[in-house]
Amino acid sequence: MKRWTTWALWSIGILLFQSFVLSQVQLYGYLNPYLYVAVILLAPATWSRMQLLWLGAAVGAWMDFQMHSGGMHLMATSLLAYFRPAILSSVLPRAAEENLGFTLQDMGSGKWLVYTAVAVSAHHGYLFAVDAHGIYHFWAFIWRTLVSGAASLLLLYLTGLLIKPEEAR
Amino acid sequence: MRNVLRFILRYRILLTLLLLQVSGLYLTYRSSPMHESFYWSRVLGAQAEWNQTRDGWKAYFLLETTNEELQAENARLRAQLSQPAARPINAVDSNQFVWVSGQVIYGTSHLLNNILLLNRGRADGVEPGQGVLSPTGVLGVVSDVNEHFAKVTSLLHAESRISGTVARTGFFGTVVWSGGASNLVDYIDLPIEAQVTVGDTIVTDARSALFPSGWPIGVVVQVESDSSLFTQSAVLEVWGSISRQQPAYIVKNVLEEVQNSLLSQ
Repeated sequence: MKRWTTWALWSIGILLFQSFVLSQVQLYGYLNPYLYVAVILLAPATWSRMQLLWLGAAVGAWMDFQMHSGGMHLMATSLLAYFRPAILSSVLPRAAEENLGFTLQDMGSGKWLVYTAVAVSAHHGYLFAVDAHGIYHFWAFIWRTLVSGAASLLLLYLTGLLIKPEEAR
Repeated sequence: MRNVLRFILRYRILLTLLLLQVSGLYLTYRSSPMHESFYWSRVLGAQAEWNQTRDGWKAYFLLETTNEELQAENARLRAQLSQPAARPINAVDSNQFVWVSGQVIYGTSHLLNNILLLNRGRADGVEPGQGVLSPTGVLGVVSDVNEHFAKVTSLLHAESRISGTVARTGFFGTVVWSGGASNLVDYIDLPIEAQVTVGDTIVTDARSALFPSGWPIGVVVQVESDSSLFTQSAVLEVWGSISRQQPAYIVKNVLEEVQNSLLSQ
């Protein structure tokens, strides 16, 4: 997003939805969607790595606090935040310099899907690897990452449809 | 000195990432919660209060199921009371346990290491190491307490080990969980002569000092025999759901110290 105020409002909404609704969804022992990664994915393109890193740490720490998961989410979100500029610029090379918008409508489905899918699989894979103390049960790990990742991706897409592209400042 | 500073400034972002990762690892793997200080007990209190506020609305939708389960349990107990001649064989060990009733206010089931949170704590006599039962099965073992809340290592935790016995034949085995579906647990370390069959009920046994014997754990849905190791293993389906808001009983073995003192003499 371009304006941090719009982003902040969306973030609060997304985090509340995650806490009160999504964290309660636990189907078949695998499926637990993590929509909250959107907070990091949507943060303004002009933000520096350092700003993103602390944002990721704060969001992760909040998730850990309410899910009693030690520091798992903190690790996954800070890793995602660290690599976000790289993922974003590989899809939209001049996003940071020109403060391009990167909502679903701005980017188009193809680019948006690459950006989001790479970020979500990195985040979920790392999260589940830390939870399981490694990837010893390899196929169970892959399956969890795929199923939860697909659920998160679907929710991110639905959220993306709601977010309107912003006009230039 | 200047070079060190230059290095830190140059790699400050990467160093921040590493710092965050290490603190995350520390928080995830920090040592036994029983040795944790005042600080973590305060954090647990704050977390529990937040969970209670956040998940309160869910309890309303589950009231009907909960009521039915409690009614069924009442009926069972009444039936036992009305037959004084048929005293349960575990009458001694049912007097050996003090029961504290409480409520599961938070629980996960999607992780490999799941936990539950109960709204009873040290003030109610709950201590780490006590067993936790639900009306329909076994929930886990208390791992951490503060004044008003307790954290439970769920049956759905990779390190959970609960001994169980086959109700029909009396053979011993161990109930463990290795991830996956949250209503299925593994039952291992059975001797091959146990001859477990699908449909057998597994109950808690007197071997563990944690739980009174004869409390249901689950029903066998799948059996595997390993003839080279002379062992059998089975998959159990638990009744009800472990990680939902429901009544819970924390059981304390009052004779534990007496038993231990006899052993140490």
